[in-house]
Amino acid sequence: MAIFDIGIIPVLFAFWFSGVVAAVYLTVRLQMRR
Amino acid sequence: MEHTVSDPLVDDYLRRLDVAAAGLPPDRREDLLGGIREHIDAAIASGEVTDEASLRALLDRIGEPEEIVAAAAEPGDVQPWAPPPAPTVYYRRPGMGLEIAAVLLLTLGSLLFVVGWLAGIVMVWSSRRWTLAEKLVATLVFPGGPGLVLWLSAVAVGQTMCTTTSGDGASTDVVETCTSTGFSLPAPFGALAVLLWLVLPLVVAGVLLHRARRRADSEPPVPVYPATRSRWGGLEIAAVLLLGVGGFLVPVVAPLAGLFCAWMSSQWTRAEKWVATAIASMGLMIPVLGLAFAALARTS
Repeated sequence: MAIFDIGIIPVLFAFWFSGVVAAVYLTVRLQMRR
Repeated sequence: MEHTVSDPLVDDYLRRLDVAAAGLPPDRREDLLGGIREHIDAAIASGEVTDEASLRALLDRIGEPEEIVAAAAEPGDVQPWAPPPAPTVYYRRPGMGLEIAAVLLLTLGSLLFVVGWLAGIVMVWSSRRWTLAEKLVATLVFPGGPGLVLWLSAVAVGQTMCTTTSGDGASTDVVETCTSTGFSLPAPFGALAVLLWLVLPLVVAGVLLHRARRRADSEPPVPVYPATRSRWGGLEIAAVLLLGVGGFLVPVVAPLAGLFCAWMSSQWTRAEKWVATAIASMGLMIPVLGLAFAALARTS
C-alpha cells in the first residue's frame, strides 16, 4: 500500500516535528502571559 | 507667603508635612502646605515665637503632620502615612517536578537504553519524598526498567537452530543436532518474566508517584511572591520537554506524555491545550492522509 512506501522514519520525524511546533507554541503562550 | 524663617525645626516639620500629604490631590496639598507655612510665619512675625521652646510649643499646637493630613483628607484620598499594602502572596502546593520526572524516566525513559533509567534512579535517590525502602524497590524492580527487556528481547533473544542428518548406509537413524545461542528460559517462564519485567516497574512507578503526591500535599504550601512568580512549574517544563525533545528520543509515546502533562497543567487555557494537541497531532495526519490518497488513487 502507498502509505507503507513512505517508510516509518519520515512519519516519525513528522510526528516529532509537530511535537516541537506544539512545544514552541505552548512556550510562547506562557511567556507572553508573564 | 513663603516662610522666611529658616529653622531646622520648621524645615523638618514642613518636610514631614510634605511627605504625609503626598497622597492628597495636588491643589489641596498646596493649599494645606501653604496654609501651615503662613500660620508659622505669622506666629514668628508676631513675636509669639522667641526661642526653641516657644517654637516647639507652636508646632505642637498646630499638630502632628500626619494628623493634619488625616483631617484634611477626604474619602478616596490615599492615606500616605499608612503602611503600603503588603504584596499579595500566593500559595501553591509543593512542586512534584523531580518525582514526576523520575517516574517518567524509570518507565518511558528506560526505552533510552540504560541511560534514561539511570537518570531516573539518580532522581529517585535525590528526592526526599521517598523512604529508603521505596528507593530500594524503585531500584530493584527492575534494573533497566521495562525498556531494557524490550531491548533485550529485540536484540539478544536466544535462538535454537536444529539440523537433521541422516545416518550412513548401515543405519537408518536420523540424528538431530540442536545448537542454542544466547540464554533462553522455558517459554512459559520466559513469557512470565518478560510480563513481570514490563508491568511491575509501571506498578511501582504508580505507587511511588501516589505516595510522593500524598507527602507533598501534607507539606506546607509554598509562598509565591508576585515578583518571583513563575508560570513554569514541573508540569509545564515536562510538557514542553516531552513534546519538543522527547519525540526525538521516544517517538510517539513521549509527545503523548507531553500532551498529557500540558492537559494536567492549569497554566494553559483549554483553548491553548486544544491548539497544542491539534498541532502535535498533525504528524499523525500524515499516515491518515497517505491512506486517503492511496484509496483515491485506487478508485480513479
